[in-house]
Amino acid sequence: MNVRIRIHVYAQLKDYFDPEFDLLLPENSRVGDVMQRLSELKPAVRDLIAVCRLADNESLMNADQTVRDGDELYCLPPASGG
Amino acid sequence: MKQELKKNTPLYPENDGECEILSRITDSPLDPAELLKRANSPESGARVLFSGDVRGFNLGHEVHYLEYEAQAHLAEKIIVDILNDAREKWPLQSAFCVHRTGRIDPGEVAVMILTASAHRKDAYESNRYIIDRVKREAPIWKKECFIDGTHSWGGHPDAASKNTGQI
Repeated sequence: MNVRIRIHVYAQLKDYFDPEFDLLLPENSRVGDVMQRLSELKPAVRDLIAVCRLADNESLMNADQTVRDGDELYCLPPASGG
Repeated sequence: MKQELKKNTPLYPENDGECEILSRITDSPLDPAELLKRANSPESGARVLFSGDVRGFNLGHEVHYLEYEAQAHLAEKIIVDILNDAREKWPLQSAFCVHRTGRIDPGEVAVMILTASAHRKDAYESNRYIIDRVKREAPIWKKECFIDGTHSWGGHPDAASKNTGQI
């Protein structure tokens, strides 16, 4: 059984990924698994993904949080505003 | 380690009668005079406004424009927490942060921080505290587009300071 989640990416990640796309992952996958999958999809940007944070629309997430079917998640590179 | 956002934080603006908080991400041009006027109160003897402007040159290149993007909802929430942390550390009547997104040309304002307090020391110190944390923590990103057609993604301030000594 898989879960489908939607990932939004920002900044230089958009040079490698579509701005938003779906990922299929095994049930009970965690945030760390999502980041691992992203690195596998684009090994050229592995170092950047390693310093990104994943968030839902309300808060930053832990690597061990479980993702659920239908989740909308945001992959956030290190900030560079201001 | 999870960085918890404070629960039940109201979205902005908020005014509890002692301190007005404003956190906003907008694609509209920013007006420092409007922000100064909003923070004018009899309790405040000092208003400090930081205006982060787009430079015409960076890293030896002539800048054409900057393009900012944000996860706006999350950025506003994180900035709210930063502003509330500031008002717990300093006695403030106003703590505002407004950050612009989209294309911004040299000379235009990208971000404004305003702090108002009875005395200038608190207004200065809290203002610096807020902009330093916003630059590090708020999910906002900058793309520098140069006249020669090249571009560069802005770096995290901790990384940038290693290269330039400036943040």
